[in-house]
Amino acid sequence: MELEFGDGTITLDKELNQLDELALMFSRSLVECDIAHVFLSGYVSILFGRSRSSEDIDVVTEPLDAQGFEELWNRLLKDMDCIITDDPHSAFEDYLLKDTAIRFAMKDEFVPNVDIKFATDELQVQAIKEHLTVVLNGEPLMISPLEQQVAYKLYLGSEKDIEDARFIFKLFSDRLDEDELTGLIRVLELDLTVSKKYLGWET
Amino acid sequence: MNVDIEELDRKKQKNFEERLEFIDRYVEWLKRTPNKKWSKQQKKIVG
Repeated sequence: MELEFGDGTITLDKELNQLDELALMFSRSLVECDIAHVFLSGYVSILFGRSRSSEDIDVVTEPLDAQGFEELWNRLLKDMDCIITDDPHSAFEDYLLKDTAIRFAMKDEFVPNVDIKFATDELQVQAIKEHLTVVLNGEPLMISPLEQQVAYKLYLGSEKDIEDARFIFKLFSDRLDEDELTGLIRVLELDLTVSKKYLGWET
Repeated sequence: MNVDIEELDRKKQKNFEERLEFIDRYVEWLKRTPNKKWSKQQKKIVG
């Protein structure tokens, strides 16, 4: 695997799959609307080569006001449809402002889709603030910090999530800030011994 | 039908541990494999 590491950036060139294409398309809209955001959770593992698929891609954005969301909605609907509601006011008021995600898929499709919600907790706010930029085939894609990615997947705790956490941990083992990861595991009130066992973290 | 739940649980746990070991092997393979090659294979799974 050829990866180039810079200051807050990772450059990756690969044959794009349908999730990569969808993520890049969504990212372009967010960037055009100048919205701070990160891609996170399972897609980050897939981006870096995990051998599994997913029906959705998770994105968290900074909280928007009604005008900012309307601008994003209009931009997204050039290529996509919201598969939760046709009404942008409902999407904003009944979903996003109530900490509930909405989903966008390519026109006339249902999966894969992008699951988007506003950042509402400290972990999500920090992920946006301290994001990494993956330059994927020349285009920027903002992702959550890798330490947070690993710790949060452990917190979610399903077998699939733990496998994703181990994948990122093993792939970036010589790049991760171990103190930061240990701190996040403690913040999430996870058992450090069990977490290290799941990660195959030999100390 | 008599099902030994403890035996099933042991198999489930063993399968999970085998999957974690597979991830380690897969990551080692990824690290030594050119992007063009692994991403082409990944696309067959992801679409």
